[in-house]
Amino acid sequence: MDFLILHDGWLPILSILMILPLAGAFLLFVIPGENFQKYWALGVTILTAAVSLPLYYSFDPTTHNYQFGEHHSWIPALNVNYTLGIDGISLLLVLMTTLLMPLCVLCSWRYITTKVRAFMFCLLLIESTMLGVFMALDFVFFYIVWEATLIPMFFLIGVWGGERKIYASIKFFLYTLAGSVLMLVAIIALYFNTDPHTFSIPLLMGQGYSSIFQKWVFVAFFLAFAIKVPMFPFHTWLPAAHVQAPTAGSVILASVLLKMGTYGFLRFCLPITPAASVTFTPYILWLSVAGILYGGFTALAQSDMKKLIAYSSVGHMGFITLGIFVLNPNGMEGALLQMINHGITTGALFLCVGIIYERTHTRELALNAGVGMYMPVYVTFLAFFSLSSLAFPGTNSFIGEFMILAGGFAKSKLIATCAIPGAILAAAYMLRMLQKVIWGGTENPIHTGLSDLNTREIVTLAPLLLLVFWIGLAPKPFINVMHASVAHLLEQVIGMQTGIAPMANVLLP
Amino acid sequence: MEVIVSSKPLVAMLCALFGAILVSLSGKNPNIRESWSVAAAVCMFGVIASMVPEVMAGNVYKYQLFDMLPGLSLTFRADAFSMIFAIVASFLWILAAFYSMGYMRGLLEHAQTRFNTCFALSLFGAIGVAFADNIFTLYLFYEIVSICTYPLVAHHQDEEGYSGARKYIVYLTTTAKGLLLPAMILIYVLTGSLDFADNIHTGIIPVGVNGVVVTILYICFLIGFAKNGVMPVHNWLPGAMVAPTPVSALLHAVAVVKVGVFSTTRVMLYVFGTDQMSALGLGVPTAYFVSFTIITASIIALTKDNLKARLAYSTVSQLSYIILGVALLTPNGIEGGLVHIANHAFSKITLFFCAGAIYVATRKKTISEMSGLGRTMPFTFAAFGIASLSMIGAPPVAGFVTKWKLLVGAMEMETHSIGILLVLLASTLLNAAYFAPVTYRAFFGKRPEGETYEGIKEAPLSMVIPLMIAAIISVIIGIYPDFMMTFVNMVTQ
Amino acid sequence: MNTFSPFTLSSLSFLGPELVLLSVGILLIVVDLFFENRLLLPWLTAAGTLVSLVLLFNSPSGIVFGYMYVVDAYSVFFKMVCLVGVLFTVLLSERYLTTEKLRHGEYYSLLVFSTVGMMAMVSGGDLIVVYLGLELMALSVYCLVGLLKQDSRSNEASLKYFLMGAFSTGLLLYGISLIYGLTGTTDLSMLSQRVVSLDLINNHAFLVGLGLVLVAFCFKVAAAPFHMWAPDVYEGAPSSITAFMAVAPKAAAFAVLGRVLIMGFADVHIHWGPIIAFLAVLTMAIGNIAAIAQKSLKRMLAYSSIAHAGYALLGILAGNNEGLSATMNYLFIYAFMNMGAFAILILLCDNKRRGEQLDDYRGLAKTNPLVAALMLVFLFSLVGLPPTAGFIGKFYLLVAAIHAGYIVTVVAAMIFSVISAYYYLRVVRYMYFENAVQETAAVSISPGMTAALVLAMIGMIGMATFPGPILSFAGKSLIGF
Repeated sequence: MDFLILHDGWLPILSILMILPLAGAFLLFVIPGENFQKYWALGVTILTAAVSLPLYYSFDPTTHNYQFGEHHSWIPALNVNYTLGIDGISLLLVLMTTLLMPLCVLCSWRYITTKVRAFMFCLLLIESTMLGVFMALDFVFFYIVWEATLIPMFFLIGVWGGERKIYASIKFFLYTLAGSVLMLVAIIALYFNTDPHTFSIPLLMGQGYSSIFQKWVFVAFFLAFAIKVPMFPFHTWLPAAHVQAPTAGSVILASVLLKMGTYGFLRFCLPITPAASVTFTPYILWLSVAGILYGGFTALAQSDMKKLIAYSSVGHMGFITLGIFVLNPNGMEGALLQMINHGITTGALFLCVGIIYERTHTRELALNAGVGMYMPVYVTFLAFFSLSSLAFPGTNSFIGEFMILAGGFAKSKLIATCAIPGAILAAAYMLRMLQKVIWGGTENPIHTGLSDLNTREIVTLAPLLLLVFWIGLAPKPFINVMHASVAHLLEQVIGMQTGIAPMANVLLP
Repeated sequence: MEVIVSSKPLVAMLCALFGAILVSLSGKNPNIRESWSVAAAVCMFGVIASMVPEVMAGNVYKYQLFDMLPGLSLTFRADAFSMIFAIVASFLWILAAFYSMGYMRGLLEHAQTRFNTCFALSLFGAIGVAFADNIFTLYLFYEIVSICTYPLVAHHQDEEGYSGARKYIVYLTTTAKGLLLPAMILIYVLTGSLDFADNIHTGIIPVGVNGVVVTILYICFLIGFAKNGVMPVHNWLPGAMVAPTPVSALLHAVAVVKVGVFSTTRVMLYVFGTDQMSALGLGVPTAYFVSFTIITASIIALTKDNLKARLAYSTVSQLSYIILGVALLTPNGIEGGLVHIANHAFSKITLFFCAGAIYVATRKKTISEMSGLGRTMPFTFAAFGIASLSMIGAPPVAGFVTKWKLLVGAMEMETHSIGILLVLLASTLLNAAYFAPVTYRAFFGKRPEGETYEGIKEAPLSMVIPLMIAAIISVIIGIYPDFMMTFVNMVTQ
Repeated sequence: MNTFSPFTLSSLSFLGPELVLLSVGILLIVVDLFFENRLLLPWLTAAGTLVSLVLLFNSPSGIVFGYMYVVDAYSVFFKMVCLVGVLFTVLLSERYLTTEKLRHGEYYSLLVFSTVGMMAMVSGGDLIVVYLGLELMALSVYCLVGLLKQDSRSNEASLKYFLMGAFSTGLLLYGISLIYGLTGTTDLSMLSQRVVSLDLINNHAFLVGLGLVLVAFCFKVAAAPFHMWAPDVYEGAPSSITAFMAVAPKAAAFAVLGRVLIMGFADVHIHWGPIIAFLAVLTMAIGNIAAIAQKSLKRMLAYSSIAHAGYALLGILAGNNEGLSATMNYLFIYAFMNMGAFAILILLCDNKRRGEQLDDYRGLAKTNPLVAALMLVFLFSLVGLPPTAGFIGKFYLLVAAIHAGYIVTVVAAMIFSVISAYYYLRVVRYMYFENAVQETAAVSISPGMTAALVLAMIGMIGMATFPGPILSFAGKSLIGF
């Protein structure tokens, strides 16, 4: 257990983080009144966020070991444990999740009019499970929370979704479920291939499994994560789910659920099956490039704002997988940062679409054309988030994309060059959307009577805008916590292959 | 050389940024709004002027705002090279602020608050480019200029405006994202840093990098800074003519195109360096490449009857002079090119101011309609004539200094001097061919049948005075080029 | 080997639970004759079952009646599953019988007698005892299936079940006779020795005998391709009996399968392993795919129960203690989730609707949120989705099967479990995403039903959060097996 630094003090902070929303969810059933329930959910999420913040300050960025660890035996017969801990890879994801949830509650304030209690229940439940995913260090527990995120999301889409909610929710559920069942097989196979048998994730790393076994395990994992990410061509569930989901659902889906896929690559694929990862790297890189281009071109053709952003996610996630699999510090840290960035930016964009949908009851670009004149504050926010999404320099995504592409060029100039059109396309579809929404054409639908953002909406968007520029201009506080973990991860992958120091040290004098 | 750590470059930029914010907040009261505009311009010029003595003494201002990654930071520097552009841009903003006040009010344009805000933001970007200390900072402000000028181009919000603006943004962002971004990242990967070199010779690309890669990078930058108007990515410029005239003036004389050439030359000299460029033989091909633009754009200009369109192609042609000069890689050539940034700015803004003044006064756009108009609007056309001379390169106006330096620079070349000389000669003739008739017809041409120009007089004073000042300065810096030449000489030393 | 223990009266002390049940069964007939209050019967049965359960954990273990009857931890575990199944059935039936106008007396006594049969099966140390128990169980269940005398579906089901059951019994007897002929014994512990000592592992006649026994039990657990009777019978039978059949007799049959295959014929694993693997995949395929097409929830659950038999076979397939304990654990969890789902089905059965059609579940979340929520938990558990108990059960099975090397079978199982998610989710969809066609009345809930649902939920939550104890209980019961 030397990989785990147990939490000091008597408060198991990670467990508390998971239990807070869970307990809050169940307590909702004794709380009367929809308004009070909303405030309750808001309070619980804010409290969770407040509890999570100290994690950053007590985090020790100099070690790659898992911190704030907890370890309890759960099913002794199979050596299944309840092990939690976070390192530089999961820390920011945990923080992002906790910080986004209050915003998700806020954005549903007026959007959700029916079954408020159940809605807030689902939100709190999914928060708890998502946090579990990023904190779990035991495979069985990981798998449980991983799958458990599906259920609340299924309901968020299915109950509070748009016209084709049933199709979207079932497709989402089955698609992602199908992807992850084979992962369970791989997990059990790994269990039997270590001595002593263990489900402990850190202990499964660096075991030197045979090459063919690694490949099979990798493929099983890859399928699960690639569908979650989603990588081209496993993305078809995403636009359907995004378009039909309520705003909060879209935000959670885009910001956190997709990250679970890329997190999976980082946490499992690379360190557990390093040889296979290296073998499959070229294919994955090309798939990423395909996703970047496909997402970009498809987004360009959309007339539905949500669909546009959904397809843009496919492209952005392509950049992230590209960054992960270039296997150098720049690319990987860039990918990790981009995961956060995408969470912030795309989440914010979905919030923006939700805000306009609440007013005009449509997401069609043509019908929302030219609202800039009536909602100047709104379009200012939208403009900043769109710029962030197209990786405008000075915003968060630029730093991420810059690092990813720097890693990409260091790995292969060809692949990085092929990804560049994706950046152009991002500018194209985002500016197109922005142009349509702010200006429209010479003749726009009549929007008189549209009210600009109210305080609640500004409060929802402002923290994200702050983060956009914070990460965009001073990313060091965010990147510094990753160094040790990423370096260790690369050592696990590359170091085991060739025994030489990670090549990227040459790149950064 | 001494490095002065001071936030002055940043303060200069913030003048524009806060100006923009104040303008946007005071939209309800036009007088207050416009006075913020002017105040911001004056403040910015003041701050920049206050840096002149130290820079002239050979010192450099530097200020790091954000340190992002190793080798990637948001840092500003004010050296001689940046001062050339910064002084010109900030000074001309003052003139443009007054001018646009007259123009916009004269035409009762809509959305003046947005217009003024974006105007100020564009200047913010332009000065940011001038003071950039590394490729990233340069790229950041380059993109800010692109985005903030979009609403200006689309200002009229009609079909023409939208299509022009779309073309504008497509050209600029595609080249920036498609060429600049990868080139910048590749340089970062190769060198681990994006900071500009301290002189124009060494460059920052380490020895031993494959020449092909360097050449590709070079091409990426040359084409990627599409704002420099080099063919084949010049088309956005004539397309952007739909914008109101002050915008055209801003685009063509001050902010946008100058940002393009400034960035191009900055990268040529401070990233690649003259040593590497000569070693790889990049100078002469570049010179010929831009020569094509010079000649072709001039020929196209000849065919245009719309005054602004003719001016636009003239700009395309003139911008390439600047790159041509730098590409000669001889001290005189570089000096000639760089000083043209200032010379062209003053002259071209005069021309556009004149075009706008004519339009406000008469609603006329085409040259053929302007026959005999000079007698009704003598000041305007006199200024136009002076500026035309500058464009042609006739003494004693500013353009002459450029031409002189360029000719000397071309002769200094070891090879290909004849070719370049021929290009300069041909283009001078062409310049004369498309500029001279305008003034000539205005003063000596026959008025069209039945046209009496009744009730038409000079444009408002707030327009005429700035254009006269710009014209006069064009003459002054033609006769006394020393002020600008000081900075230019410091660059080449 | 164990020493021979002749029949003595003291041997009866090992049979405490069975005797209690037997006397309850007889008492029920008597009470039915002399007391008017029908409500007495279910509670009497429930009390008897509970007493039997308590006795179960307090009786001595040993082998009695000369190897004939084995009271070991293994049998205790399965008896526990059967008794839990009966307990649930009784609680569910309390109001259901009145609704369906069934006769209480014979219903409960038959139920109890069939349970005694199962317990005999489970404890059978000799193929003949197994056979006797099987018949006792089967005959009682034939009658139970046909209790809805006015309903032609019920009559058909009963007849079909009887014919098929008789046929499978014939096969079983034939198989036993072949085995007996070759080995000279029907004693399970002796059998395994004889197989080795007589070198019968590759003897064709012996394999035919083994195959026939296998087929017979596959009939009982409704494993494909011997499942044909199941959908019709499950659909035709009274809902409470369907729930019962899917849990208790199936568990008993699995117990025998486990005892026979793993205790008796462990050495022949190379022969029956692939067959079971094939059967398991086939069962899951047929059960899950056919379930998709169903419009009746009851019939869908019937197919789902076939599919679940396929999953349970995964553990048997492994052919070792690990696998068997996984199956045991799974059957126990399955008892809770399946009973829970049927409880909801029965709860919705009133004068206006039968609660059997999927359409009856439209908009249930709006009219009866709590009922819908409970159904949701049971359905997700049946899918085997984390974090429900169903996942825990499936997880052990997969661990065991993978450990034994049946990766392909496991992958197939996983794929079918995704397919199964589709039809379970359809119910969820009807309940939550769609609106009721007509305003449905609120359900009335009886004490028995409340108890059943509470029990099922406690089981679900308990096994999801603390899955360790049951598994270690199952594992421990196999020590020295």
